[in-house]
Amino acid sequence: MLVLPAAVVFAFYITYPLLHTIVLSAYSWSALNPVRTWQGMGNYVELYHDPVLRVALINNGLWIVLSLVLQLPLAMLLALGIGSALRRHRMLRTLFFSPLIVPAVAVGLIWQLFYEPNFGALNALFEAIGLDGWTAGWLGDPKLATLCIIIVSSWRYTGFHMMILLAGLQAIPDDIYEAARIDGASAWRTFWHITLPLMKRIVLVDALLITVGSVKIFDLIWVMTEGGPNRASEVLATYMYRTAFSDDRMGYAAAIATVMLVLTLIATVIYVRLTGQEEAEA
Amino acid sequence: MSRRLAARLSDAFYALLALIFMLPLIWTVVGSFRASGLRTEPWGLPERLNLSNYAAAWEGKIGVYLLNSTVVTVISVLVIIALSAPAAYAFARLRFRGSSLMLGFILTGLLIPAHAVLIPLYQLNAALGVGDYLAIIGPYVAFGLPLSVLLLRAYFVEIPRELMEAAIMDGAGHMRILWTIFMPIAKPAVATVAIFQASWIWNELPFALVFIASGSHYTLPIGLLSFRGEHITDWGAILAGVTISVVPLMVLYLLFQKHIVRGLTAGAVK
Repeated sequence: MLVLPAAVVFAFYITYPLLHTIVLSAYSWSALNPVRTWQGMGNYVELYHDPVLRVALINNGLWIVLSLVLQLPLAMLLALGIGSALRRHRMLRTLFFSPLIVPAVAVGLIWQLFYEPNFGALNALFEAIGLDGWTAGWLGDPKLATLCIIIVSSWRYTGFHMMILLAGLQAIPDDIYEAARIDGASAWRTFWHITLPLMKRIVLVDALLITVGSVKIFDLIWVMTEGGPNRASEVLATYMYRTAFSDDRMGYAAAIATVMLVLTLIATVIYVRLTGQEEAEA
Repeated sequence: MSRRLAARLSDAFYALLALIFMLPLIWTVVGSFRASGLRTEPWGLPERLNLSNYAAAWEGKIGVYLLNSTVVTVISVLVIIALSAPAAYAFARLRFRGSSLMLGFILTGLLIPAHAVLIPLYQLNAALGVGDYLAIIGPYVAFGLPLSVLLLRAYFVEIPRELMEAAIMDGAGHMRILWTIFMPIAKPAVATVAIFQASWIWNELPFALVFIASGSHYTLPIGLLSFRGEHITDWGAILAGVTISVVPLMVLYLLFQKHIVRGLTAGAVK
């Protein structure tokens, strides 16, 4: 009985709509003309040949890989370097965590101004220190736009992942380190042979969070480029949003949402498998 | 190299890194006090403390958005805690049929993208004629439940069983045990839940974008976006608006930060 209210709210706002989305992806209709026509797999056939979907999938893949590569090692470095209870370490942690508290829209706006090609702060900085060759169109350049936003996202979330890894780090008992020190193990060896193996589980959980977050990513892109220029930075979420609420193709958008859902599911299954293997070996 | 020196060097390295990290935020706050020159000299300093950007942001109704976001966030977080605490208590302390299945069911929500429910909820709201606050608080609460249940449950599990048993002997019901014994002990977890939920609701974009129709109900994220449309060149006002939007969460975070890692640790070990 104690669980019931939470379960009902959850089912009403998440589980039921989720299943409904999958059903709706078999129809075509619009908000203006709400009569639904049965499409069967029609939307998915169209998606298969859709060049924008291909761009979006590639970009989401890029988001996953680069976010993992940029955020995990840096977050680990921070957790190891400033994870202690010292006051100055606590202060530094607060600083690294702080971009997370800034609304994504605000972050997007700030960095948009930072990247602005004509009067932006980044180009001005490069010119001031004599690196004129490094100036670029940043968000206006189809080749750079996605990369630029991934960097902003990593800037925003690394502090959060530091906190998660730190929680795992603190769960390792001190006497293990004590023993390693007595045995004369170097810091480097201690990290590879003791810390990392003991943290494998939380690192995997964190990697799953980053991966799923990269499949869902929407806010920063919507604020900074709206998927442009010329759809170069489009991802599944921005494409889905545009299809539903600008182009008013609800059924097709539901199909894109279903693709997102399936990718999330695949990622989760992979990580659950990996974690399961960990436990079987242990 | 002595241990002490190595520690100093490492601290200096991290301090430098933190400074680079903070640069965009420092730049924003500094820029928000500059009257002009944002375009010609992006790295310039304000000649004197100039509040004209804040006046412009106020003109752009930043105060209204701030109030709206506060109302939505406070209500949502309170409802999330009111619903997730009893569930977490039951999952942690009571054995009932299908409990692990039910827990798994709710935890799936950690992974589900908002976009996967946008269209049906949009239809539902249209059919019910529901808009604005009522339309967004529901999904905010639902999406907030999984993490809250997870973190609170992990903390509740570590509370000695004897405490609960003694209270039951004294004739206390589960709800009383939860609110008078468990919740006060689990303060770090509650604080962690509150800060995480508040920050994502404060920042949430897609639901607000789709469900909030009237400008007078805009939350901060869409309010800030509308700034870009209205004042197409007034970046100073945007920087001021951004600065204002950060302050409430910053205060909340500074108040609660010492609990955050403790609240997460329990969740991580389990």
